[in-house]
Amino acid sequence: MSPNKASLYFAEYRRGTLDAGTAAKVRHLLESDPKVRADFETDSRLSDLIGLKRYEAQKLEQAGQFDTFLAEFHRRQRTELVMPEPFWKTIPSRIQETIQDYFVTPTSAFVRYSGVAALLAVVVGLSLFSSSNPGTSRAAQELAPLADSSIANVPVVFANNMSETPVHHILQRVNTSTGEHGRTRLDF
Amino acid sequence: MESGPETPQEGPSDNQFVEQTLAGNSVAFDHLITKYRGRVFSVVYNIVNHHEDAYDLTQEAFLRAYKSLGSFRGKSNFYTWLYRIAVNHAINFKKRRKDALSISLSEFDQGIEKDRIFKELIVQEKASKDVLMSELQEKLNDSLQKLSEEHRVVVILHDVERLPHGEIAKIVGCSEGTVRSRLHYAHLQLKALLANYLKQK
Repeated sequence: MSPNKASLYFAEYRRGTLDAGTAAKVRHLLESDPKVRADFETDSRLSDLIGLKRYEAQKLEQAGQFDTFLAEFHRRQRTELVMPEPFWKTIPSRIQETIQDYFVTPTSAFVRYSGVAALLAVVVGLSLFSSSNPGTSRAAQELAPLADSSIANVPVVFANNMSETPVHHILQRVNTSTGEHGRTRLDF
Repeated sequence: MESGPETPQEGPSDNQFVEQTLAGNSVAFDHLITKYRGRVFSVVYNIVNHHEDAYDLTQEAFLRAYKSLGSFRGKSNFYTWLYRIAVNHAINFKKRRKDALSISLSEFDQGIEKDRIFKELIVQEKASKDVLMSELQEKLNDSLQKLSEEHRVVVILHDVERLPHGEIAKIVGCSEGTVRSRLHYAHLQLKALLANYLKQK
């Protein structure tokens, strides 16, 4: 282990959370290299110095900041029951939570990023496919008038004579036959 | 060995309180609030540097946690899940309010006077307690604000909240290696910014 790499493990070494093998390597460097030892001591002092920040929050806690916290929480709960947040306002946070859950679940990074890559590939593929077939929707529009008139007339039949007729009665009256170009015709 | 905020104690575990809450016993959730409000507040406070905003955000974090308790699957500790909600909420708040963010810091608690490093600094700086506290607070906050959001959160969770790397990784949604690396680079920056307080005499 190089002295530079050892500094990555200082925090865990200090707290005794390193595995035995890595801890032994760090210990060896600390004992043999005065510069690593000095870096370790500075790092420990820095960590203690930043740790003083916790006395700020403690001061507020001591000052009775939380005396009414629970009552306030219950009041907010009741307010939310009476005036729930509109659904659309919750959409961004729901999306964010879903994405964060996805990246925090204990699966390997490879699996997670492969999933994202696959999703992106599908989106890109679909967009390329639709942009390379611009005539699809125009063709559908051109073919629409050619649809069988018997099918086109279905709403008229419903509106004029059969609006109260049960669906299974209507279906019994439907005849199917094969029309031009092998298409199935539905005749009432 | 370090550990997270949940310390062994008599009575139901956090997961049992969660189950009781989901079964309709809302008082069970009050126990979780009482247990974690101080710690959640501390994390949020150190991210936003404003005690009134931190109080509101802590309330909102608990409300969010309560509403989405059904999605807590018990794969991680309850506090890790709760911290994640609170940290993300605080970071989003900071991003939204970037332009108008004010700072309202609290004074240090008297407990700081018994802290080893503070006692050493009093001797080293030859300053009165009050002057040192005020200077130190300003310098610490300025230095932390100079870090990027992702580096600052890791420093707060590690050095202020004393959470282990594994828990920090789950809270911020990255690997332990990334936490190690972010902490290392954040410490390098902070060493330069706080050099005066790091000299050993």
